[in-house]
Amino acid sequence: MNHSYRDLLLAIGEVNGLVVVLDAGLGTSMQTEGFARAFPDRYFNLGIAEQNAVSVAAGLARQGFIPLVHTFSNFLSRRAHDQIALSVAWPGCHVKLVAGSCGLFDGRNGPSHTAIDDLSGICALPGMAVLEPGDMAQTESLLSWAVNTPGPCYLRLRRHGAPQNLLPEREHIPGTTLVHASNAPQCTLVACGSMLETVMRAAELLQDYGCALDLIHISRIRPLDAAPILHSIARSGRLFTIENHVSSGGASDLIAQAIGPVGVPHFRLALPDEFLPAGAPEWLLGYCRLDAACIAERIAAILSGDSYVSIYNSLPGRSETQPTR
Amino acid sequence: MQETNLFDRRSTRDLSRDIRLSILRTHRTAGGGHLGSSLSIVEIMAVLFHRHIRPIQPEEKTWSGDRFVLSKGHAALALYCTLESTGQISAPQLATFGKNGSALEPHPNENLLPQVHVSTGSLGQGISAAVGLALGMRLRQTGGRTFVLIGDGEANEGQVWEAARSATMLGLSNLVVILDDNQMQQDGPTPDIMRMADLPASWSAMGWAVAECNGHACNAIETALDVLLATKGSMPKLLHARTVKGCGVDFLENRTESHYPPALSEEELALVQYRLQRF
Repeated sequence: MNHSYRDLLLAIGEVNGLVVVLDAGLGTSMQTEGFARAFPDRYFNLGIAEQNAVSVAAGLARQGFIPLVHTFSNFLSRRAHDQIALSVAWPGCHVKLVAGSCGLFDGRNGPSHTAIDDLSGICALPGMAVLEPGDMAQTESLLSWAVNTPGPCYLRLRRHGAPQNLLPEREHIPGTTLVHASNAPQCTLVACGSMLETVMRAAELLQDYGCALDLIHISRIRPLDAAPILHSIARSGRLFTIENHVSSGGASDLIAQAIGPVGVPHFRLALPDEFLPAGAPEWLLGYCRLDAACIAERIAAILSGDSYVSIYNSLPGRSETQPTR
Repeated sequence: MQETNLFDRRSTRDLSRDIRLSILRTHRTAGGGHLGSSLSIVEIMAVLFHRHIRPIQPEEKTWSGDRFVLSKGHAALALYCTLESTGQISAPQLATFGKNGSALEPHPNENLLPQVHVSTGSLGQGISAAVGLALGMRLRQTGGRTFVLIGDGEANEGQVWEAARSATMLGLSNLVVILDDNQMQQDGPTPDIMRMADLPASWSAMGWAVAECNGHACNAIETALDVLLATKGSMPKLLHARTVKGCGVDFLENRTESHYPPALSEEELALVQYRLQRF
């Protein structure tokens, strides 16, 4: 069965009568209209005013409700950061921030609407849980976990074109999942949140050309469960983290902190240090050298050393590495 | 509706004098603090906490009863001295104000002091949280009211106006905002820094029930609040209180230096006490 956020929200509203949905004037984009129709007493569109919406949620939480604040990640994390820090995180309110814009995957509208930097501020807040699913099936379990786990939570969601179900077995507790393990891995690939699909394809390319690897996915960036990563890099000796966020302050940084004492080479494949041009996800993946072929090439280049050229030339889709428009 | 025997029935004027002196003594012990803003709201706090807001008993469900939010959190000293006057915090605890690691922080911290209903300090956020509290009370049908105190300097913040508009849109008749309009902020007179349009007219235009009073005349505050609270309909309520920053200390009144002055000397304190007790 295919999931949409619209249906998931409606379902959680049916199960839990304390869930209250707040919008900041972007309800049609955030797919809250089904909930609004089904539960008009628990739905409030507070208009294009993010700061108020976040603090109002903190008040509702003190009355025992579970407010889900909806707007785009860029507006939520940039405009309402002080409110997230002081109204929500400081008192530890049971508020869920549904951040509907996921790095380059929602980059059609240019820098004003593209959350390339949201995790850096949000992940620095004490007590804040930060979730980013790899597909819609995982979105369902993460939403349920967020609603049922006390405390503040930031749920970073891809609004357009999220894959449905990438993994055969679903972990209902968000965290760190070993997706694929090799007997003698040459490297560990960690796909952060929404990068799962692309990294799975890159891993297939690398394996097709003889590279043994471990593939790990993290859906909960904070608090991070680093144990599977530490276990894998102890065998592989090389870590690649691939994320849909600038390198500074995102998941790669948290992973780097966790593995620091181990001293394994850590290569970060992240968004470039610039405000991205407006574009479709596939185009932006290429622009950022983060599509599957680029990821495989970059990893192969580092792994192969002298034999780099042969692996590089044999990889398919090399021509896709440059933006096509 | 209210159980009057829970409140101190001394006149709020007498209670205000005690609270004001307590603020000055505590400020002196601490060696500094946001004095002017605290002195500006003494009578408002005395009326609210000795006539309207019942303390939440530990055995009560967490969402019953009234709530108070000091949105202008830097006036925390007035809140602490008022809570001490109602017996909700002890004199020795009050004396820790200004000390390293004290639960009585310069801005109210609910994590350290449960008598604080909402932590504040970043201006504009408290009134929005109060909107959420009032909305939650209505959804739960607790019959509770949310009182929130804001300042005219704080009204520079855009969030205050976002909150005000959302409160009328939501029809929160159980929300009472008290606007401490002392016409001053940290850097000087509010009209010289960011002049606000006619505040009572602005709130009225947004659909609020508005009452005005002298914010240092306890009888006037009590009467205005009673009228406001008896207002029927779905409008949220604003009490516009005209106040004086540093009220009660003549050399600080309406002065920019009153915002965060050093401790008063023993002689100054004795003089202020003498004058207060004569009036």
